[in-house]
Amino acid sequence: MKVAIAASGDSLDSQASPVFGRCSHLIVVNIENGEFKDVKAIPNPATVEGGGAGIKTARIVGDEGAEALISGSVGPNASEVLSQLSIKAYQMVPGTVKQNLTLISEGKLEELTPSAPRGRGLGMGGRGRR
Amino acid sequence: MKTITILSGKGGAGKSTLTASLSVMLALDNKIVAVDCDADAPNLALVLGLEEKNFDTWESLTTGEKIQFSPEKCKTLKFCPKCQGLKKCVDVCNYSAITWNDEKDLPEINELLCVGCGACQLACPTGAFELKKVENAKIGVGKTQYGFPIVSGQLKIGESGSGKVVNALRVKASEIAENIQADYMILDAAAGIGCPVIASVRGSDYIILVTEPTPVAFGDLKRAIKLIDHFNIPCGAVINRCGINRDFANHLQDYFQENQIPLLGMIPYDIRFVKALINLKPAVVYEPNFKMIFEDIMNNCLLDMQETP
Amino acid sequence: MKIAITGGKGGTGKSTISTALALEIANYKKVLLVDVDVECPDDHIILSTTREKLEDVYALLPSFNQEKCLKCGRCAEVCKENAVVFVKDRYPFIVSGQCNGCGACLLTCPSGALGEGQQVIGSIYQGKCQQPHEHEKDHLLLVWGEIEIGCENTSLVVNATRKYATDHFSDYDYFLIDTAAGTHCNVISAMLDADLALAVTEPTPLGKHDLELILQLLDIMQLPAQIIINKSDIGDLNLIGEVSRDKNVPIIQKIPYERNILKKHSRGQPVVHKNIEELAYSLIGMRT
Repeated sequence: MKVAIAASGDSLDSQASPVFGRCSHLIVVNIENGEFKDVKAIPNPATVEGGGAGIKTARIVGDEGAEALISGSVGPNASEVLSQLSIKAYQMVPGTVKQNLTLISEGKLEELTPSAPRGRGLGMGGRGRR
Repeated sequence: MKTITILSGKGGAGKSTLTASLSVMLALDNKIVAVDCDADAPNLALVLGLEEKNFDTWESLTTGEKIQFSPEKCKTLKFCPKCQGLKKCVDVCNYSAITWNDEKDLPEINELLCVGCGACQLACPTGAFELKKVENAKIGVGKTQYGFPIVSGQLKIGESGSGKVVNALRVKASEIAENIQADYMILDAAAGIGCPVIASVRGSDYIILVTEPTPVAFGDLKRAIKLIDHFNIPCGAVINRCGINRDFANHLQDYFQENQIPLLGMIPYDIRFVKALINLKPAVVYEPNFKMIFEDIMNNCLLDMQETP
Repeated sequence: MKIAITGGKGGTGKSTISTALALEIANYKKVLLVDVDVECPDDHIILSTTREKLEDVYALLPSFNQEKCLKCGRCAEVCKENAVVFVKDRYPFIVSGQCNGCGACLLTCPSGALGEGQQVIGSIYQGKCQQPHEHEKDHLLLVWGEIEIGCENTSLVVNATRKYATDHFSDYDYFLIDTAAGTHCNVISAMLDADLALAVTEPTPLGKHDLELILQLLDIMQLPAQIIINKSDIGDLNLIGEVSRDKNVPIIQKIPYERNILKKHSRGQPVVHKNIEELAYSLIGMRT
């Protein structure tokens, strides 16, 4: 399975990036029988764009022929592109690229869906705070 | 580094007031960069007591393009077999930026409306239109007297592309943040929910919604909330001038509770906030008694940011 | 006569003054209040109007006919908004949220594979005042535009609202155009066919700074301007006096920051004040 992952550096030991459109690198790997083959690190040219950043980065994932993407969050435009290209997005866990790739090959990463529950404050809603 | 955007929908709700004081409080223990994402009428630097002329650098920005027309290349009506007076340029412009001048028998471009999309360039069979880059804004970096830098921009009056200018401001601020190893970037968004605000919201880690207890501000706030839902970004709320309508303030608190939006704090209505603005000082500097209010908001915000993934 | 109420800075009181002025002028003449702050329209809240949709506003959103598509990728090349996505060997598609409806891709496609589809980017509404302003019912109508949330083509909705008002309500004596804050394309589009612009400001350094910007815009647009100082009793009137003299733009009225005005504002109700009365009267007297 060809997997792309948003990264903060260009190696498997780099930290996985919590952002997608403006991540510094995309790392693309062919995962075969738990092995990481054809590792390719692509500097993300979309780092200076505005609303088109996510779209451009998603296009690169498509160009590389990846079937899956690992990232922290994906904006609405990028989501639309990934969906049109039938690329599944998975929620990254804080850690290295290698750690995340291992998890996805073991089927242990959760899918990132646009309708994922909002990360609204969990502990503080309400009145009478003082 | 985390990015916090301060947003309201309604103009004059207190975004710059909150941004300024929050920044001062945050900067006491953290490295921060403040960014004024209102490139039309930037106020944040002034609220922080920094005038344009005292910025360290100003550079021009070319994020936009405008169409330029060469009349000598336009072969209209009887003389050109290609265009045959079809006025294709006028038809294709979806921004009503091109009209036909019957007297001169030539198209006229309204530069104020041209967004530089290039449709007319593509439509014109004689190459009479060409897109040229235009300097549409300037971007400045300055040092506030409160220990942190500010990035601000000014759109050239009459030019378009305020969203792209905000993007450029954020890129500049990111460079500075990288250099100083900043912990936080604080963005003061413009009024509304349009393109410059969207550019301030995209990719942000947390949004602080500022509102006041009035039906109008509430109407605008609900629209702003729908916008940040679209981008799925965690948020918290601050009620400014909470004393001007206590009943409505309670109504707002109920609304926030029902919608699981944490209330980070409430700022009272106090003429000293106005005086602080007039004196170009952040509220917490003009009136140190206000520090507690903003410290609370800051702490609640940071806490909420930690709790949400 | 078309009068735009604008100001650059948010929160100076454009909607407060627009609605108050509209009610006042409606005592004598037929007024169409056009709220073109389409991102966050407020006038219908202040005037507690009814809400009746007049029409949707559409923008071009090209549609793909895959049978004709050559997968050449030219559409993606010309798109300045990165809205057209072309992955090699696959059919291109458009990200609707990013498309600004310019039509460049349509024009450039060599095989006619792109058609003129559309998407709704906003809507235009009308509303009549309800109690307690019943007596102005026939003399005052509100028309406003609202943009679809997340849409970036605000000026297209502003334009459509303005054009609708001009095309359908020419029997109204006065148009009061309540613009958004700022100085960019939304505000420019709002004031395109105005005869006069009233720049609302406040007597503070921030107010002065933003007033200078809006006056610069009005100058470029060659639109006659006048200044209204809101919250006139806080701050320093000289700040605005300087601008007025410098730019040769008269100050035509001052509205103080009175308790009853703040009360009305906090309740989302229109303001009534003798200074607004005076302003209305002088504006009507000015009509040629």
